[in-house]
Amino acid sequence: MIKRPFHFNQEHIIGLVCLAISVIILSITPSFPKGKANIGLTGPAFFPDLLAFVFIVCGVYQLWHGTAYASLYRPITLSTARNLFKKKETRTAYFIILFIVGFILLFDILGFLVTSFLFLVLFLLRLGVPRWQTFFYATFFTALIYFLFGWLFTISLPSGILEYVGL
Amino acid sequence: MDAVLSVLRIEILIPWLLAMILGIFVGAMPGLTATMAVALIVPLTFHTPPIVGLAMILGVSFTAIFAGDIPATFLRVPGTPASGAAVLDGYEMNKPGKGPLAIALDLTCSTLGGTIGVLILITISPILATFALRFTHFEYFWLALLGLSMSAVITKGSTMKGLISMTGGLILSTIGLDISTGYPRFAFGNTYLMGGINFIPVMIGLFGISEVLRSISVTSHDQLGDAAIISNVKADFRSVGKIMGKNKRLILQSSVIGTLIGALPGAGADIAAWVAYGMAKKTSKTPEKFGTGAEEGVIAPTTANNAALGGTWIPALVFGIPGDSITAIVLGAMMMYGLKPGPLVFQGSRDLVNQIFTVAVISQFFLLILGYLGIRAFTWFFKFPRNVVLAGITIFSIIGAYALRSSVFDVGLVLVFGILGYLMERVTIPLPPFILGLILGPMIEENLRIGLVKTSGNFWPFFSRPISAFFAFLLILIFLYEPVKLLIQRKRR
Repeated sequence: MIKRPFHFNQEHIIGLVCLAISVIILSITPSFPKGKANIGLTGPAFFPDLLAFVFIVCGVYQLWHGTAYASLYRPITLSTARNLFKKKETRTAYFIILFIVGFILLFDILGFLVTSFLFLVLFLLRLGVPRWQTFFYATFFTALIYFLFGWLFTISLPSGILEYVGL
Repeated sequence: MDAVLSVLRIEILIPWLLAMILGIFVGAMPGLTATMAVALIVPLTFHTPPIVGLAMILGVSFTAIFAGDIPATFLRVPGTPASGAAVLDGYEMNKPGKGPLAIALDLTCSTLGGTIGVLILITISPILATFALRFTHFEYFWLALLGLSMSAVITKGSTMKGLISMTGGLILSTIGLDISTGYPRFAFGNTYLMGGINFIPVMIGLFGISEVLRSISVTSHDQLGDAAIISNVKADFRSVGKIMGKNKRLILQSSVIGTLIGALPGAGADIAAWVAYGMAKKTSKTPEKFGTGAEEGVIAPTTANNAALGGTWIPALVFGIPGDSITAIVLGAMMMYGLKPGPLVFQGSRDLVNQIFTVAVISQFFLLILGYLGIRAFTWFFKFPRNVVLAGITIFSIIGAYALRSSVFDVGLVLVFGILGYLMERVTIPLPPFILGLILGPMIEENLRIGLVKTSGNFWPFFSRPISAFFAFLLILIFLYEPVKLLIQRKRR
């Protein structure tokens, strides 16, 4: 029998995530009200429990698959995790996520116009757009969205700090 | 005639045509899919009458699928996954300078395929709807599960990963108030979660933001600012009529294949295009020419991918089961308008259904005109730097999600599911089954639980009724197909 070298890979991660989600569901659902089995009335836990069991099967399969077919997948080690921060392009993706988090936190405070403009400026500069173009595109997109959502579809977009200056 | 006049009104025409133009722009941008084009347009439809919103969604999907063929032909880069098969012979035709003929053939076939697909939809849907009226909770449970499972099996990658994606979507659909007891499940006291997870921010995140993150993380910064500048592009229609006359049978064959595959829940325009291409090669007298710039190799996939769009609407309208991720979004939009897709929609909202059919047919004529202009504008499109387009998509996605309930909570959902979608694609877990699971989850749960109440907890009627038994049998076949095929292949070896 050929001995396959074991290494931790993406299939194991998928399997573990499936199992973790199942455990979370199965630990929460016992607190849900019970159904009445004699009349076929299932409780709120019935469907999530059923899905958690399906996820357990999927998780176990993934763990087995990742082990049995380990050679098909790249090993994940500590250096893989370190490499996630090395590449400039990947770091930019993290910055974009941070910008969106900032947008969420500041949207109601600074308002639509200021937050969107700032967000676009940071986004475009990070992606290497020349400065004068950045300001042009940031103004253009902010105005376009304000026209479409705020003016055409009369969706209330927060004014934020601009409210204090009468805008 | 009334239906035609009712949709040819200025307040419908303008947003409809603008949406179709957006479809060309998004579809022609490599990496941006037709689903993303629809996802971008949905927030704009919240505040419009149903027919305006549905015309915009229909229009954008038809033009985006065609527009994906433009860079496929001239740059060897499919604009959308549905254009993958069109690259093979379209680009080969372009090499010796026959690109204008290839794209003209492509546009004409797309229009024709789309029209045939819509005509099949118009003919078959009412008949199927009459049949579907016999369905009860038991049949609907299996049908929804069948649709969902097919999406898990058919999508690229392993079946197990499709199943994981589907179950993930189903689990997400259980968040919120329980359908029968009103108990808040997994809400943790959050009022937004009590209302359930809305599919729109999830979809925008999964298809929009994840694509932005993927594009940024795989493209070098120097290339992000690049524009694919090429010489002026045009379409040459001079010999199109003659070629199409020679390939009438192939056009019909590809249209029917496209529509049928589109009608299978989970299989969309991309699969239709590949199957039609394979079938055309099999039935061709000169199969050796495929892949070297054969006209048949352009006709088959481009006819089928647009025909599939009509097909995807068949299960969506008749059974309320989406045929692909685009119709999944459509179903969500219809529910938002208070319409419940299913056989009863043909009785309760007959006028609207007629208007949808009319819009679908007229969209084909618009496609021909806008497609032609789109080809002309292609050179201009590609002068737009990719990083600017990505910024536009991101801010549009964010504000689109916010517009749903004027809540930053939904923007948070967009981010969370954008990251999740990015990670899922990294580990080759398909995204469409996830969104279908989220949309079909309540339908599956409701029919299963009501069915159980009806039978006092007895599962047997789910298997004993003829149509239910047939669907259950199909479901088993679907999941057994791949392992059995592998087993047979191993034994043969």
